[in-house]
Amino acid sequence: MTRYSDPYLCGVGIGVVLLAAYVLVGHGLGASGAFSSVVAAGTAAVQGVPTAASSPALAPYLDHGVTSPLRDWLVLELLGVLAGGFASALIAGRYRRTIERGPAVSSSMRIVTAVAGGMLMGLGAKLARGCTSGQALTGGALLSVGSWVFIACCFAAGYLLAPLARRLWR
Amino acid sequence: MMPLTETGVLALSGALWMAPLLGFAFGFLLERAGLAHAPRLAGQFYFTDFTVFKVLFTALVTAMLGAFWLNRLGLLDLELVYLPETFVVAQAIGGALFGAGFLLSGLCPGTSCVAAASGRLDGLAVIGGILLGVLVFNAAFDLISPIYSATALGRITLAQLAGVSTGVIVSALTAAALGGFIVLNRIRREGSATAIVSARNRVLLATATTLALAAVLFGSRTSVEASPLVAGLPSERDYISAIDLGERIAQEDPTLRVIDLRDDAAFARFHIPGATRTTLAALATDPLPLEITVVVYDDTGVTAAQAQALLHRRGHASVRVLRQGLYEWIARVQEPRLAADATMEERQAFERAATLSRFFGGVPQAGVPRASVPIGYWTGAAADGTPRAQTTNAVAAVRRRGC
Repeated sequence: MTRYSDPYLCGVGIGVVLLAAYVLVGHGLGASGAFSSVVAAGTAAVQGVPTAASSPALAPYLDHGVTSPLRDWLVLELLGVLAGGFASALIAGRYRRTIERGPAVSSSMRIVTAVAGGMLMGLGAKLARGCTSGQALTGGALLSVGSWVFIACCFAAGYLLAPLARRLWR
Repeated sequence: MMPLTETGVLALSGALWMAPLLGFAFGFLLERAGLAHAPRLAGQFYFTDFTVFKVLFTALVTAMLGAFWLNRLGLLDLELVYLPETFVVAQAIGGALFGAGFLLSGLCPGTSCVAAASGRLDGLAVIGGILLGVLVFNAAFDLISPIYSATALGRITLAQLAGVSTGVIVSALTAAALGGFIVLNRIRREGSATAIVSARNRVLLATATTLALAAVLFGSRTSVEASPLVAGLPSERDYISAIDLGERIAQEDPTLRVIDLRDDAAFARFHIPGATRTTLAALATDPLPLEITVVVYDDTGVTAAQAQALLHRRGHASVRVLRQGLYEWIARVQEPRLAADATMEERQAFERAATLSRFFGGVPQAGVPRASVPIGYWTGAAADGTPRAQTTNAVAAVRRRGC
């Protein structure tokens, strides 16, 4: 198993990728937006496009009757993220089918908290119009006020609640 | 100037091809940095692992300095780069919920994908949770939407909020991040005897410091390029006559978009059939399809010319200003006039206009005194007079008739 790369060097690399996105396509990177597209496409498949598109929450993702998530930039980008993560893990010998958890937590407990945490993040990212990628990183680097509000509140909440969640990770 | 998609160099399909490539590099680097492991990420909240901070803020500072300097050098137009809009309350509450979820799950949306891709089933569970969270949001949108759209500040940067130049903010944030890295390095050093700062990181530190210091001196560039405006002195291609426009509207030309730039009240009183009202600000943010012909008009031609310049800069090839604005439409399409002693040439032009006029419900007038037909009316030369006053009067006349 290879050691991890220097975080600062990886950071510079990700910064350059983000800058390339600004320059090439005029917007940054994202992750949660792709989840929104997938959910919108799924809802449209179940309810039918007209019903789904009548919801103001879904309409922006079903523009012009486009219901294939593969037409969405962020979905394609996130598929790239999956492939890139897989490739790097494989090359470094870190690919392993396992459940990573704190020392005092059972696997099933870990899965429950992972789903619950994911739900909170899904809700939070929708409300904030972006996550650590689309809001903190992309908007933060462009000095968006809302992005910095998001960064401050995200870490403030994480640190304030950390003592309560100590058993999960310590 | 870049970005390439906005300036028309890279087509939308090209941008779609970039997506998986940029995503691949992003995912690869996240995994290389060790961000696929939830316990490592959660360690940040217990002061045992600062990889998230180091990676996040190094990337942020790199992109921030890069974007600032490319803009400063005139290579990147930041006005055209998507800037997330600010909604203070929604982003504060959303951020707090997100932070709580981050703590519980140990991963964020991007890193959960990398974790899942490297075989971690907990990463897969987080992905499932996020999808559920989005579903809940969509289902409860009616309840949430007042919070979602409250305190909207639009596109606003920290520099605009603080009333200082962008360079000052860029430098301050860079200094804060670098200072933070130095402190983190000391915490980490407690266990070991020697400082662990590689020569490469010293170079990175020095580069960031230099770029940040220089940024204070240079503020920010608001990009206005004079050359395309000067080079593009008005040609026939920049204008359209009311008659030509009327014929294209009558033929229901699908590649035509007519845009009215006057205010709401003026638009409500009278507008060219099929026109949509918009503002310069809206044109700057909402892209129109590049392949259509856009016709812009107002009363005076000033706003229309600004809109034309704006759309040209966005890569639109075919943008035309309605010559003489709405006045010409009223004078030539709504009320074409023919002098009693008209020449053959004038009669032919009148016939064409009169057909069109009837189509749009206008009133062609033949046999009027020569004095009431402006000089050059049928020969295409610019009409005389002050367009705004004439337009106002002409609109009033049309209204009286109940068009």
